[in-house]
Amino acid sequence: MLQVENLTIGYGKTEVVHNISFHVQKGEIITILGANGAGKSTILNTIVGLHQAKDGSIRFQGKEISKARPDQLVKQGIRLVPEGRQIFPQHTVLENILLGAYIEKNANKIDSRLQSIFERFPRLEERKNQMGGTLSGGEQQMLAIARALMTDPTLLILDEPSLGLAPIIVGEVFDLLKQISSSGVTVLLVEQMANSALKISDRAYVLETGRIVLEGKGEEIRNNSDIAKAYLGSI
Amino acid sequence: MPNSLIKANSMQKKYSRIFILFWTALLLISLVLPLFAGDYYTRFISLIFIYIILAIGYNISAGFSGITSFAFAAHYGVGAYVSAVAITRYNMPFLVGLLAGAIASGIVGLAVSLPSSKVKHHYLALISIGLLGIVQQVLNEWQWFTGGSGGMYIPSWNFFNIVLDTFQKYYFIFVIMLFCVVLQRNLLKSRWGRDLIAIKNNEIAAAGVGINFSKYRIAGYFLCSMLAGLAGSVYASFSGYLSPDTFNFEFTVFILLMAVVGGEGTLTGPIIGAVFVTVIPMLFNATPDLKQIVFGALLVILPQIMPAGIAGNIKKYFKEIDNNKYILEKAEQNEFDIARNVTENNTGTVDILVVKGLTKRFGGVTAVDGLDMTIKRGTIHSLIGPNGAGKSTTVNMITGIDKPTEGSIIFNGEEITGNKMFNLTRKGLSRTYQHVRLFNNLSVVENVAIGGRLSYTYSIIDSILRTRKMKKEERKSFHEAMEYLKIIDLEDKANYDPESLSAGQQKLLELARALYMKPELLVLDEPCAGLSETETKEFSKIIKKIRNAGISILLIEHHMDLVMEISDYITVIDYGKKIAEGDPVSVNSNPVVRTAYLGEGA
Amino acid sequence: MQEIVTALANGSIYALMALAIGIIYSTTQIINFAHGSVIMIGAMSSYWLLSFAQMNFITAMLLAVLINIVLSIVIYKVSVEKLGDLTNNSRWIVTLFGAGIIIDNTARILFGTEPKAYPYLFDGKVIPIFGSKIMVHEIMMILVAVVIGIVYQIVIQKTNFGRAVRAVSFRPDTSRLMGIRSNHIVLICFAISGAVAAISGALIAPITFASYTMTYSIGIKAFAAALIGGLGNTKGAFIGGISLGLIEEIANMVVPGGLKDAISFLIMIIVIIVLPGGILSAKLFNKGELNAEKV
Repeated sequence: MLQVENLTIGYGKTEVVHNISFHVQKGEIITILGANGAGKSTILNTIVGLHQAKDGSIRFQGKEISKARPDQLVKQGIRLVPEGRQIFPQHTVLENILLGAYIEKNANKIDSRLQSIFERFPRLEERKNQMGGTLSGGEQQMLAIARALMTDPTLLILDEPSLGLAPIIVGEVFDLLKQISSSGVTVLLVEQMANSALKISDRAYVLETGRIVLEGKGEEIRNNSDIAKAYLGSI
Repeated sequence: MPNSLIKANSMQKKYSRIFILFWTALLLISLVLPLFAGDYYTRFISLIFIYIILAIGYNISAGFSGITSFAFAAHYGVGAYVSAVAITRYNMPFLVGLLAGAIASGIVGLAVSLPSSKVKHHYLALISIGLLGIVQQVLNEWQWFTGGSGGMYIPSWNFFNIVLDTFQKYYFIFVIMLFCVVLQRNLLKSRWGRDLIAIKNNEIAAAGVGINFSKYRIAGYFLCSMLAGLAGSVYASFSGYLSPDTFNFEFTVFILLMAVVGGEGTLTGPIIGAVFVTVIPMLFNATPDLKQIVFGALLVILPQIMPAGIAGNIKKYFKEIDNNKYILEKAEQNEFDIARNVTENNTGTVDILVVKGLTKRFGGVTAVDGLDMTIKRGTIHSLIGPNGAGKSTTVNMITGIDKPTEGSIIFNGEEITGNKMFNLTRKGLSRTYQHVRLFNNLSVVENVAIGGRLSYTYSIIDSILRTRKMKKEERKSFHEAMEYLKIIDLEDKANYDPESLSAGQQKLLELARALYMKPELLVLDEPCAGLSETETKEFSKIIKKIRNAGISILLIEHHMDLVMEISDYITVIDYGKKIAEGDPVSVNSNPVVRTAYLGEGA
Repeated sequence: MQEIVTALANGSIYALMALAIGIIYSTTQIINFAHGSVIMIGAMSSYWLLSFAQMNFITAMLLAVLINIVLSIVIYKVSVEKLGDLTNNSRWIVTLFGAGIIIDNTARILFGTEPKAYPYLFDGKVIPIFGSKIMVHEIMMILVAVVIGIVYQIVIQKTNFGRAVRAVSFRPDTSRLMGIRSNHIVLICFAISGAVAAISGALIAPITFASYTMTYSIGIKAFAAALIGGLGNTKGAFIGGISLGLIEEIANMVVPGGLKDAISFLIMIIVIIVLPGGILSAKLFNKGELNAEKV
C-alpha cells in the first residue's frame, strides 16, 4: 500500500535520513522504532507532505506522492496524528473534530461519522463543548485520533501516540489502534515505547541515526533480547 | 596544520592583495577626483559620501542588530536641524554643532530601541514609522526652531574661522566618511560585531553565551541613529538650506534601497548601495514619478531574489577573505588539557546545584511537579525519563529560560531562581540545546570563540583603534578556540559555515562552545540525539574527560547505554515527578523505571 | 455631544482599519505595512467611480471592494508568498513597504496630487439629537463598523472557514494535516482585509478628503489603533480604534492642529513601551521572554 524507496531527507545542508526503504501492506500495523533524533518524525512528515524529500520515491497505492501537498494526501486517505497530539487548544472538542473533516463537504457524511466517533469515544461527546486545551493528555490523544478518523482514512499514521501518557492510558491507546486496524485501516506507527508497540505490530523497523538497521516481525524483535538491548537501550 | 587551512590561507592572501589594490585605487581616485571633476560633480560626490555615512548607520541597525527601522530619515533630519540650530541660533562652533546633531539624533533614536527588549522586531518598525511622522510634523510646525515649511538657511561653512569652499568641503566630508567606514569595519570585526551577529542569528543561544541582547540592541541602535544624525549634520552645513520635505517618506525609501541594493549585513554594502542609489535617479530625471515606482519595485523584488545585495553576491566568490588570521599562527604539539582551563571554584560547596520543590505549570498542565534534585560537584548527573516527562522544562528552568512557577534553584550556594540566562553564564553555568543552536552567520571557529567572550577586557575604543590590547586578546581567544576545535576534531573546518557540518559535528561544535565558556556546571540537553554509534562513543569519551577535569555535568539523554556507562548518579522523572534516583546499577534494576520506559509488560 | 459622536465615528473607522490589519496578523503573524496604501486605494477608487463614472454609492462601493480584493491578493502573491518562513526572517517588512510605495506613486500618477472633496453619505444631512447636530454620515460610520465587526466575529467563531482561520493562526502545520491549505486561508484573509480596508477608506474620506497621501495620514492611525488595542482580535481592534478616536478629539482641543497626529503617534509609542501587548494584551504576543520559542 505504501512503498518508500531510497528516501533521503534533510534540513538545509544537513542530511537527517539517509537512503531508507520500507513498505506497508494493506491491513498491517507497522512500527518504526528508534531513539530521539533518529529521524522518525522527519520521515512521517515527509510522507504526509509537510516536508520535501531530497531524493527517493514514496508511492501510495501505486501512485507517486513524494511531491504531493498535505491536503491532497488527506483526500487520498492518508492521515497523520502528529507528535505531541497538536490538538487546537482554543477550539472546542467538537470544533477540533469538525476541523478533522475540513475537506469533507457532504454534511450527511460528516454527521454519520461524528455519530460513530462519539459512539467509539463517549468521553469526547460528554466534553464536546469544552475547550480542547482543558482535556487530559489521554483525552487529547483520543481527540487527535478521532479528528484523523473523520475522513475515513485508509492509512493512519501516528507519531509517538504514547508520548507523555500514563502506562494505563498507553495501553488504552494501543488497544484502540488494534481495534481501528481490525476495522480495515492500515496503521503506521512511530514509537519509543518498544514493548507496547511491538505487541500489536505485525512488522517493525528499527531506525538508527537516519538508517534502517533492522526489520522483522513484531514478536521476533520483541523476543530478541540482544536486539532490544542494542537498539532500545539496556533498560 | 591541516592542508585545507593552508590552502585557504594562500587564497586569502591572494584575495586580500586584490582587495587592498582595489581599495587603494578607489581611495586615490577619490582624492584626485575634485581636481578634474567640475563643481557640480564634486558636490554630487560629496553628497554620495554623506549618504554612505547614513547607509552605514542603517546597515548596522538592519543588517547587524536586526532592527528594520523606517525612522532613519527622521534621525537624519533631527541631526540636520539640531546642528543647524546650534550653529545659527546659538553660534556654536561648527564641529560642536555636528556633535550636537549626532547626539540629539541618538537620543531620539532611543524611542525606537528602548522597547526592543519587550516587543518583536516588526513592532519596532511600526514605532519607527510613528517616529518619522512625529518628527515630520514637528519640523513643519515648530516655527521658531525650524523655520517651518519655509525651511531654514545655514550660513556658509565656517571651520575655525575659515570659510570652506566646495573642494575643501569635499575633503572634509571625505575624511568623516572614511572615519565612519573604518569605524564600521573595526567595530563589526571585533567582539561587539560578533555579539550583534550572534543576537540577530539566534537570541536564545546569544543569551546562552552571556549576551544581554536588549542592552546590545539599545546601544547598537543608539550608535546607528548617531551616525545618521552625523550624516544629517554634515548635510545641513553642506547644502546650506533645510526644508522639512527633505526628510520624508521618499527619503526613507531611498535609505532602505541603499541597504537592499548594496547588501544588508555586509561591510561594503553601504558604499556600493549609496553609489548605485544616488546614480540611478539620474536616469529618471525626465520622469520623476516613475522613479519612486521603480524604487518600490526594487524593494519588493531584490530582497526575494538577492537577499545579500550586490556586496553579498560578490563576496560569494571571495569567501576566504573573511577567514580568521590568528588561527594559523600556533600549532601546539602537546595535547590540549581541559583541566588547565577550568575555573577554580572558591566557594567550596560540595553540592553545586540544589533544586527544591521545582514546579512549572503551563496553563492547566503541570510539566514539572515539585522536583527535588542535588548535583554533587565533579560528577556526571543524568536526568532521564520518557519523552514528555518534563526533562527539558526542568533544564530550561535551571538555565534561566523558563521561570519556575514554584520552588528554588541554588547554584554554588547562591539562590539563582528566576535569574536571566545571560546572568547565569557569568556565574559559571553553560549549556547545549536539544535542537542545535549555532550562529550560522559566524564561522565554525568564531562559534567557539564567542564562548570565550566573557574573558575579553578590551573596550569599544580598543576595537575602534584596533589597539595592541585588542589584537592580543583576539589572538589569544582564537588560539584557544582552535584548541577546543582540536578536541572535537574539527580544526580543519575552522572557517566553514556551521551549516555545512553534519548533525553530529554541529552537536560537538555546540559542546565546544559551551566548554569554552569555562563553566563549573555544564548542562547537556540530549547531546547524542541524532549521533551515530561511533560518534556517541566519541562523545562519551569527551564527556568523561570533561568530568575528570573537574567540571560537573547535568546530562539529559535517551541513549540508555551511554547514560548507564558514564553517569555517577541518575535521577528518573516521569509526569514531572521524580520516580527514582540512585547510581546506575540501582536505577537499572528498578522495576518502576522499566515500566515507565518500556510500558507494561516490560 | 457632537465631539463625542465625531470621536466615536472616527474611532469606529479606525477600529475597522485595525481589524483589517489584525485579520492578516492573526493568520500570518505579519503586519501588512502596505495596508495604508490599500485603504487609500479604497477611498480613491470609490471616489473616482462616484464622481467620474457617476455611479451610485452602492455600486461604487462594491467595485472598490472588488478592486481592493484583487490588489490585496496581488500584494500577497508578489511580496509575501515566496518569502518562506515569515517568523524567521523579516524581509517581509521591506517588501511590503516597497509594495506600498509602488501603489502610492501609481495612485499619484492616476489620481493627481490634489485632495478631492469626497461626498458625504445622504448628502451630508444633519439631524438634531439632544440639541446637537449630528451628521447622518457619522452615524453610518459607527453602524457600518459595528455591523462588520459583528459579522466578522460570527464568521470567525461559527463557520467552517472561521474555524480554519483560527486553526491556521494557532498551528499552521497541524492545520495542513487537516487538509486545510494554509496559504489559501492566508490569501483569503488578505482579500477580506482588503475589502474591509476599502469600506473604511471610503467612509473616512469625506472627513479627511480623498488623496494619495491618505496612505500615510490615515494608514498610520490604523496601525496605532491596532497596536493600542492589541493586535489580532476584534475586541482589541474596537477598543484601540475608539480610544484613538477619543484621544484625537481631546488632542484637537489641546494642541495646535498640525501637531494633532504627532500626539496620536506619541501615544502609540508610549502604549507599545508601557503595555507591549496593547490594552487587550493579545495572547499571540511575545512579551520578550525567551520561552515563547521552543528550545
